[in-house]
Amino acid sequence: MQANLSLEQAPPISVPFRFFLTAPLFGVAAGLLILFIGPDIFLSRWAPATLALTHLITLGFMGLVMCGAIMQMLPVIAGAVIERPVLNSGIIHLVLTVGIGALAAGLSTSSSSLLVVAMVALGFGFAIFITAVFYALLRSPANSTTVYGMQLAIIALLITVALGLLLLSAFIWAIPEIDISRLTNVHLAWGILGWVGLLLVNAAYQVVPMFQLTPRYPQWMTRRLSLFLFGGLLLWSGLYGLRPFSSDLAAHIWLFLCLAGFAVFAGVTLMLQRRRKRRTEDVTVWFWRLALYSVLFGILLWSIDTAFPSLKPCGRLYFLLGVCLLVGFAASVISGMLYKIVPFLIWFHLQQRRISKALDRSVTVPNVKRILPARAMKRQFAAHLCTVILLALSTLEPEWLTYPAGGAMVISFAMLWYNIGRATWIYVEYDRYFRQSVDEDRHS
Amino acid sequence: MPHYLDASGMEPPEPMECVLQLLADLAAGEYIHMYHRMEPTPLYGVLHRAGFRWRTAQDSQGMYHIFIWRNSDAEAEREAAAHSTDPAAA
Repeated sequence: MQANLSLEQAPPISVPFRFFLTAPLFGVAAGLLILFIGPDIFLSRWAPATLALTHLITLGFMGLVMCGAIMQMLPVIAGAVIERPVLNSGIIHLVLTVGIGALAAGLSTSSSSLLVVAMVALGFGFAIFITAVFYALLRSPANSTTVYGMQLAIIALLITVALGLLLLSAFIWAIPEIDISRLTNVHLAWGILGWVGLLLVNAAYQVVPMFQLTPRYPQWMTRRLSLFLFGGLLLWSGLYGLRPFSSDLAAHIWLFLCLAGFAVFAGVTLMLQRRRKRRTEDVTVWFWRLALYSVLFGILLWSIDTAFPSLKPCGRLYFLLGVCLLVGFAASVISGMLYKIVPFLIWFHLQQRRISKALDRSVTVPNVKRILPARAMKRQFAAHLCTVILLALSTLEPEWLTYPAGGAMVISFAMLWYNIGRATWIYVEYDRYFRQSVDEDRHS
Repeated sequence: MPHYLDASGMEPPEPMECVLQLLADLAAGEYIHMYHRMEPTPLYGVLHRAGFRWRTAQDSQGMYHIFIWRNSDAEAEREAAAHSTDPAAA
């Protein structure tokens, strides 16, 4: 079997890195917003500043990293080429960044004009992204379960964005026909469980065995779980959101089954990580474990709340659930993945440049451990762990702990940005060094 | 003559680092037999650029065997091709 030249089709390093370098700054902005608003950020999940905070994390941090990662991964794992990757990624990155900034600022200041800018920019940015990715996936020669799962994740993103834009227009122009409460729950379920969940599950099928040297995920899971989760969400949306057919009990049962699917994924991943081939210390495994225990805890919380509604702890369960799923789970997995992908991509692109410039063996490429030292990752993990714990506790005790939680968040995301930025700087320096070496060879 | 590289317990990019070191010293008639848990797709582009060819086979255990030789080395290609038909025995 002669394999295809997958990585020959990989985009330039600037394509994913513009997203990776911007995303943590939105995390810093989220922390600053917590510090600015204070304990009132946990007053109500419908408060505009709270919505701004949520979207700084979901769209700003998670969304941007996932857009960059997809544009990098598609050609490599699916052979799916995105047309004009530099131009397209530049436009998508710029428009989404403006849209996320305008959304957060518009919600925080209740400015309708900023929210209209956000609606146009986010609608336009995601329309280009979804079209480019879906078009590339449809033409993909690969027929793997991961490609299939990514298609489902992109459809989930389309549903999330469409519902988000509808909610935003209802927010700006106060459309009474829209049941904002139900629609918001459907929007966030498709965003967190559909888009983020499906994408991370399918990325894990590739990344966990490859980088953490675990056995592969079982085939029954890789073949069926994504379809089960997607189908479950679709059915739940109908039962929960479509008035003539709605049945809260049936909807709860279906959502529980979806969450049970994620719990099985978390359990299998933890078991696979116990069977790692090489038991060396790996900070990214810590990020994954924090993420998986957070998602299991979140599912437990939701199940208790749904089964025993009278036990609602001070009405703050939604915040605790949000912290578990967004910061404890998604932000942890994404950070763990970034710490594997970033040094690998830098090493790989430098290696390719060294070879393409026919440099001799004396010109070497730095080791991945030098590009992103374990000590820097460990420090950031400690800051991230503090953020998760303090945020979780501050949902229960906002007066005392909101400010420390906001401060920890600023520090944690700033450290993440510094670590990625420092690694990128190493790439820039070595790239310059390689070019100088070629010039010297020519002159000698 | 093959240079055998067991990359099954290595974390990326160690397998590629090791292969690139071996490639630099590959003499005429020699090829590399790499044993891997996953198909190393990123390696193929590098091999192509560096002037090497390869053949990949999967054994009954699902493990990958990648045979790599210099572009113009007919003898190494012949030997690698012969071994790649029964990778587990190679």
